[in-house]
Amino acid sequence: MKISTRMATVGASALILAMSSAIAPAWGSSKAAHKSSSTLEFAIFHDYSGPNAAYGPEAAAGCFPAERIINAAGGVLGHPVTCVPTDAKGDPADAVPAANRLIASTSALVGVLGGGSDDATAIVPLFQQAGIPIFSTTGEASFDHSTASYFWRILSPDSAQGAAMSAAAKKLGFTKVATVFGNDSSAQGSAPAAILGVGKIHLKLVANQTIAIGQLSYRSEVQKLVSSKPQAIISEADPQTSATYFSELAQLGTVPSLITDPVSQEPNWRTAVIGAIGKSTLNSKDYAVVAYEPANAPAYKAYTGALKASAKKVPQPLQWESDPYSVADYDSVVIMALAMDMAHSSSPKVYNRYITKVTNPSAGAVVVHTYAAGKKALAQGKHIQYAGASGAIIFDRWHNAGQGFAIERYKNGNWHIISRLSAAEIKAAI
Amino acid sequence: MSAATQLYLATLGTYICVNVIASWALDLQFGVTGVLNFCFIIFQSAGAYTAAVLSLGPASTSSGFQQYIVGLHLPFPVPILGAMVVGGVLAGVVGLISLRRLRSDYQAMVMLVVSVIATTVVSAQVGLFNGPAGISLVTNPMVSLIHASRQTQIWVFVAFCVACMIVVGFIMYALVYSPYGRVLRAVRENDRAIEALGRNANRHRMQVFIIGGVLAGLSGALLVEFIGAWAPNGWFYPETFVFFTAVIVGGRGSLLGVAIGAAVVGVGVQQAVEYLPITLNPSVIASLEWIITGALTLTFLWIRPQGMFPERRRRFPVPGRAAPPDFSEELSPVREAFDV
Amino acid sequence: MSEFASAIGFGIVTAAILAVSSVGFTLQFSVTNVFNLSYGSVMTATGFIAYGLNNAGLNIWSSMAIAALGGGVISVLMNWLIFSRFIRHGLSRFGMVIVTIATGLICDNTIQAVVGPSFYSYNVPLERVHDIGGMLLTTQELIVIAIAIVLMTLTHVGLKYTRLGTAMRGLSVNSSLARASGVPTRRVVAAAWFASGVMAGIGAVALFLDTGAFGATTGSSFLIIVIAAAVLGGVGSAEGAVVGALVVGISTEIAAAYWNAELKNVVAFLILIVVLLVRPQGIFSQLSSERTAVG
Repeated sequence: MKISTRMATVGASALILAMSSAIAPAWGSSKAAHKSSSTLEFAIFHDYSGPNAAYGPEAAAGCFPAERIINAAGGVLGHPVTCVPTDAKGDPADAVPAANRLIASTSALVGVLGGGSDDATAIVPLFQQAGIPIFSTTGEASFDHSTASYFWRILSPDSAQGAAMSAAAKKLGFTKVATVFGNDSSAQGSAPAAILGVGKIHLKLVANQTIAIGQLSYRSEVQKLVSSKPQAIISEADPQTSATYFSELAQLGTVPSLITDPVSQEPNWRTAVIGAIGKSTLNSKDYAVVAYEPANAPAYKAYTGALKASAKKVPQPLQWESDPYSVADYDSVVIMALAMDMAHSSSPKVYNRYITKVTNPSAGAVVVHTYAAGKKALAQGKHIQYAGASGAIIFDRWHNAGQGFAIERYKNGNWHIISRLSAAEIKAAI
Repeated sequence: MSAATQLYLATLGTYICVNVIASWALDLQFGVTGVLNFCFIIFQSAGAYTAAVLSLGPASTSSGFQQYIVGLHLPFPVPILGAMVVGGVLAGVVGLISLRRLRSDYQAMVMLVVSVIATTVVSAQVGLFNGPAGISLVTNPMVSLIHASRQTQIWVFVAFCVACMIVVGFIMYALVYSPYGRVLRAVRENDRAIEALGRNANRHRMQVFIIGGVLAGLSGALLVEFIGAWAPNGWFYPETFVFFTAVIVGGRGSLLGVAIGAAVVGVGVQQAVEYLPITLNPSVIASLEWIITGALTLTFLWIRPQGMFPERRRRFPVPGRAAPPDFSEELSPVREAFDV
Repeated sequence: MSEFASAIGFGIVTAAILAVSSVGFTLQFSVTNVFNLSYGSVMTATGFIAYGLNNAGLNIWSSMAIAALGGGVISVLMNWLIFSRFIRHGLSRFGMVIVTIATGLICDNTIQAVVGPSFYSYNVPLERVHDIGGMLLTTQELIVIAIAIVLMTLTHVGLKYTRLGTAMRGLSVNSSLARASGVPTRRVVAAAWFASGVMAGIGAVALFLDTGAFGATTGSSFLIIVIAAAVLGGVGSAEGAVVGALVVGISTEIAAAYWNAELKNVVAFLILIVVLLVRPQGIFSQLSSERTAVG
């Protein structure tokens, strides 16, 4: 094979490219070593691409306000903090090298917001291995009894969410319900629990549909649904699928009451469905069953205030105001920061143990709602219990929090709780 | 070197080996024999799923949160061998349907459709491979084989992948640079001439389809044992195209070229793009990866369609006559290569 | 109305929406022999052009018309800047498939980078539902069906009776002979690309109206279905594309009604594979003897 000079240069440059991509992290980490004496990094390790590309901005809407609040209060142990968005790409095969690269590229990484339902089982073990706390938004049942000490989950698992939705149907007085869930991993998380729950509390399941996401037409499925005459539909599906389904439902019959989950509080979902069936229809029919947020004015106000002020880093910030995932991510970062303060160390392996110490109730603990208040109390040597914008966050021994549930409706520009589900009511549906 | 950096390098090493094996498989099918295998990704995926369900225990034991078929908890290296067999069998089945006397673009269409059917069915039938959530908790075989530190286990696995790659390289060398390889190239360039000489072009296409399927299955098995999880989101039909770019950029038919193409396109582009300044919105970075992949293909098809390392053109002098003219630079090999 | 009858009816609605896109694809393919897998990104682009206009206050149908023209321009540009150059450079039909894939990837991801992961909807008045022989159809759906019928008729008539149409058919059957007969190849090819872009635009807006909400990936996710309908009917034939769209539409609705809603597309694809196995050129096709692409 004749090796022309052009070929040689191309080949050589390819080799150099491949090799430098291997060496670069070493450079990166030595650069970061100088940096680590100043800034502490929280990684936003969510999808910025792929089918769930909205997860990343959603998490950023929690992280950046927290960054602002923490830095305004003087940072953590004298260090400022910063959020580092990193694309998890939407599937395990791409998330794993991205996670490994993230861990390798900086020693200033102190905590991670990551682990959505599409990659959590693959990447949580990586952060566990590296000893970096990861606050995850996945609802997967596999984490209900997690033994990973660095895994933390504030929001309720899908199994509880599904049961809560069926319990809500009963509470709202419906006897004939249908379930309509998309066939992606997120919706299929709560579907089994919802369907089982309906049976357990003796409601009539008139139709049980799993629909292919992103289709052009669901008319036949909708026709079947309409002929089964449900009083309410328990549903989760991605924004486009929900929009198509509900618009065809509106066309072929009337839209019955909708019982949805936190996904329906995401701005993308609301925009899409409102575009399809109109704001008044959606607001009048939709009951969102979400983790219970007590009227925690100071914490929530601190969050929304910081969110508004973070407009530079979070485009159109107010769309995330009522998104429970963004709110939970905000609390996650604050909790990690407070844990570091209490442990007097920013080393993840050290402060991880202190996370429950700043969230779970203990004797003589001062309840605080903001980072500044918490930091101050800790400095005075007190024990604290951080009750954040997501409410009280009490981790069980598997590092799951998951509070009670409430039924909310959207009125006058905001979500209002109309009813709370008691633990007993939810348990009956499990 | 810190543990994290070691793990990152091990990741790169594994991914490079896997991509090279897979690209060689596609090179055998497309580069050498001219089969436009637009459903290539499903063979790698079949290998991954097979290795996963063979190495995991029965689904009922994993506290019921995962559903999948089989689950025999077989020891290393049986899952990998099983993956290779399944890759080959699946290739045989798909080949039977699509390697017919169809126009080449219809053939491509059929394979694309097969790829879409595969993702749809796997997502819908949750009992098969746990549906859209995918299979997880696949353990690396070295964890139970080697009793040493985790880092050592991972490096042994990387070494194993490199060994596989070297073995596959020898097999590919034997196939491609041999009389058999010449027949395959003849199938690519002028299948009618081959048929006139009494050989069955479609039979050879089926052969490379199956061999390619076996190798793709191997690559999938290695990948899933490293990552530990596998889900439909990761093998939608556009993923096949990354491997096509590797073969085109590297130089179809050339083993070294394709290997470098696999490293550059499969791994290099993805990693290089990550080093762009963080101020760039991450979703833009992801789009950029695909744009660069597409642009690389177009660029190479334009200025250097034979790839970085072109196939050696063989010239056989006719005894008793003057040496035949040298056409190697004038003819565009691609035109002949792709014509069916 | 019986479930079966409504499934058929729904299939017809889906077919009407698909048919326009499929005819655009098939027409361009028959004339140029380029299997254009970047068609989906043209659809997405025009869908968003229509969104921009609609959002700025223009009514949806005018937006559709202008966006369709934009689609035509984009397609002609794509051919002029990229495809025809590769063809003249010596790439065969096969290599062109890969070129179109690469172009499609670049276009799609550029749109994604610009538009982001959000979902968008057209600004349309609240729908009024009409009862047509037991079928419930909205005003928009009726208009789309009407547009589809008009377009199909125009295409059929145009291909059969106008000079341009005859030239297109000539090129599609035997381009060298057509050229030798004095057909102005480049102009006819450009017209074919333009027509395909226009139909991509109309089809895209119809699709996005039907789904209620759309994002940067919606167009490419429908590409396979559109092509399946076109190939099923036999590429090159407008009637074929309509028949293909009907088969795809009706089979998916019946599969959803009677079998498994998640796998309804698989049914359409299996039908496609079976048809191609039995009749490799599709249902109605003039299989071109052409081996080279025309640019």
